[in-house]
Amino acid sequence: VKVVHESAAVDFDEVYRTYRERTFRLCRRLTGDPHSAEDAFQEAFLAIHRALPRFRGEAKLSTWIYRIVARTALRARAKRARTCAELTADVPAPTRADADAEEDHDAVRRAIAALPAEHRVVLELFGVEELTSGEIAELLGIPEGTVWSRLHTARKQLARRLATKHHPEN
Amino acid sequence: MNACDDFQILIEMKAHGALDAEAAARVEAHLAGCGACRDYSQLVETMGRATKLELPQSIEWDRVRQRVRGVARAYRRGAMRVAIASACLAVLGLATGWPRPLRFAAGGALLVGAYCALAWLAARRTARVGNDPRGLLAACESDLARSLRSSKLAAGFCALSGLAWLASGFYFPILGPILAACFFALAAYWWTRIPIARSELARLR
Repeated sequence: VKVVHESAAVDFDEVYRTYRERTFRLCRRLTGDPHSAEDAFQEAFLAIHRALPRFRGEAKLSTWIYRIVARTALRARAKRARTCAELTADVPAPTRADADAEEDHDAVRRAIAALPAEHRVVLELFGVEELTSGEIAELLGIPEGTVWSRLHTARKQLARRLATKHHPEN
Repeated sequence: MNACDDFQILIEMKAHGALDAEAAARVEAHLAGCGACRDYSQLVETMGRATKLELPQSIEWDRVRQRVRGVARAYRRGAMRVAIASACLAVLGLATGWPRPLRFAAGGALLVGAYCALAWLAARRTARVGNDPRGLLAACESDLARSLRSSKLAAGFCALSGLAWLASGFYFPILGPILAACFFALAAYWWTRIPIARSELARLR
């Protein structure tokens, strides 16, 4: 991964080139929707563009960028939930018989979306392959050990929800 | 937390490449003899596959960058024009003893100036995000709570301004009521934003 220097005079284009894929993935994960992800990505980079001349390197540049992007994406998700609920009311159920795998994936995604925010966010952040556990800890403002235990709790909750869905009598 | 919970955390770490070879071997040895942890390991793998995310090839990175730069440039130009217009107004006002229409224009310039000042403050706040000791969710919650407060403030301010224009009798019966109607419309807009901001805050939690 190319490293952008942590100085005050960081060039926006350089930052954009270095972080665009990772931050877009982060937006995609945290918003859970491609259109909201794109909007959040643009909004976040606009905020970065405005604030970059004032960035004094007190925190790591990557942490600073991830925090801005993650906050923007989470706000976009909170905004989107309303329109999404309105839209899905009209969406017909899938009829293809060979869509089982896709349905399972959808069930997992829906179960993740229904988790409490603090667990969902950890799971989603671990889904961004480029983020290390250290970066996730910095982003969330919690110790690295807590990140792992929160991931474990989230995974167990998710497994329970999926099991209840597949075997409601349990 | 039982011993399997500890191993399951190690399974997570192994799946994300955060374990050294020795610890990974210890996990493998445990997996060989523990059905619950094997199931958990399987679950981690399945979920990883189910939620794997490929970025679309169609993202036009340069177009997005240019759009961001374009919006930023337009904002800078707008702020510069407001600053120049405000300076001209001030000079004109001082030279002519602030007649009523100029006072009115100066009020408008003040409002736009206040908006620019808020945007400047927002950029300052963004620059300090790296030092923010709060966690991600707490920070987002505070952002949304601020947006809720702003909606309430803006609705109140616009409603009061509308009433003030009505009461002032400014160029009555044409301009004053028109301005009052504009402010009431803005107040109604901000009023409708309040429940939206509230529900966004609830959804974040």
